[in-house]
Amino acid sequence: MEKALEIKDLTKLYRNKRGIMGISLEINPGEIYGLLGPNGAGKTTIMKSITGLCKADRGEVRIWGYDISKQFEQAMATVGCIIESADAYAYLSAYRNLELAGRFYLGLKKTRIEEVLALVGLSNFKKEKVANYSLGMKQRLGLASALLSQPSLMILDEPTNGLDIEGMAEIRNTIIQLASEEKITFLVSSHLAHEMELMCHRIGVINHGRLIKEEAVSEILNNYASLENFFIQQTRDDRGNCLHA
Amino acid sequence: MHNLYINILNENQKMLLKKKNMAILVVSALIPALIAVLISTVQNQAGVFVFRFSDYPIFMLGLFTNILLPLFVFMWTADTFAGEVGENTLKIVLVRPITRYKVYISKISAVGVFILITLMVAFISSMLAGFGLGEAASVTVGGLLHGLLIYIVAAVPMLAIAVAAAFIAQFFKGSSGALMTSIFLYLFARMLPMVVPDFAKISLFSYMDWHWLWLGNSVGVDKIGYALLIILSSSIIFFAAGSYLFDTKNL
Repeated sequence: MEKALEIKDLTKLYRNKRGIMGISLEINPGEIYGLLGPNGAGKTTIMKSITGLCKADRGEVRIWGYDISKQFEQAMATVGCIIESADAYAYLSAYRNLELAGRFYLGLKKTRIEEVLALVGLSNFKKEKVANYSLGMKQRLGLASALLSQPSLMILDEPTNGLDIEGMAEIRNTIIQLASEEKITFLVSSHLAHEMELMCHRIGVINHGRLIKEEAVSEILNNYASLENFFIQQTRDDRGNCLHA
Repeated sequence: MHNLYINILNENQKMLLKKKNMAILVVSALIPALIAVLISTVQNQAGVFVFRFSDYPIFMLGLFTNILLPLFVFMWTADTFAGEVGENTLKIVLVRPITRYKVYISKISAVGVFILITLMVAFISSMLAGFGLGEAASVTVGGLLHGLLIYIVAAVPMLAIAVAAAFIAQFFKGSSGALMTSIFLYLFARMLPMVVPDFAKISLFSYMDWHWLWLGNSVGVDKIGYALLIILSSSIIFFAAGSYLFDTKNL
């Protein structure tokens, strides 16, 4: 079966020598894969390299078999994403933002815009300018924009950022539901271990730009008390000093 | 090609929905009228004959191509490139199924469409305002069409400076820096021929009013050809450099 996402030896170093080094991973169709790591670990850099927002120094990224450096349009046609922050044109309404995005996808029905707005709870605010939205509303709009094209791969960078407890639970449940019912594959990043524990099938631990360990969540919870304990053990030695720095 | 067309449509819609761009179109319509009123007042009160109707649209075109339109073009390109980087909205289109090269072309094309719209607004406004300056009865269809052609031809160097401004904008992460630098470099390039006269022959910015070459009963094909060569070659160089920088930009 073709992998939803294949990354081989992905490396991107910024001028300050920080970045990601030698990242290799594969995500199976229908899987929710979590990238877990502290702030500055390289999660967003990985996602930016996958979606072409930054050019990797080395490595290969394939989405459903399409090489993003050579077949970008084909690769991204099946992808919906929120990278770093959920951005929208502030001087336009939510509906207009989605209308602009929807034009790239041939055959997308006009009713789809209403559907995704309803899914994220923004139907009543669709005509309001995004400049007047709260952080949580902008995050919901970002999710709507990512879902608009009915993607088969979703790449979400801290998708619950800015949401309250109920909002976080709602987004988490939406992701789980979409993965199981619509068979959408997810790559999700977060620094919140508990959130990942509740949502993901498999976890990749990222620290100091390296993919330290990959493991199924079920295995982690069998062998460790929690995902948090697993993460600490992978990234710290017995004295509590940081490994892989 | 579908996505290229779609993004040209999107970029145009974004520009139209920005209030300041609508204000620019309104200003472009009002300026010829206001100046015509001023000239008419001077002509009536001082008894000095300044303009005939047939001269007025060409006079206004000179004002637009040398001062107003370059300013508008620098603002549009600064907003659509550097401005979107600063507002974090450039990535909205870059994660859609469209290559960066097509995004670059579509943004410049959208500015090109706005250049044409502004020139058409200025043409219509100049024609209507010029009626107040007399001799409107002597207007012919041929004359009107010739005037329209001159205005359309004037869009060519304007598009070229949009390409140049797009290149400059790649060095900035905010629209104000890109705008100020574009204006400064434009003024410098317009004034340099006073010190280095030969520079005028090869500078794109010396051909802002190349529409004068198209006036008159006989069109100087050799002069137009040379001017077109300079405009095209400058555009190609700026486009290649700008699109390369845009393609390799890390967000």
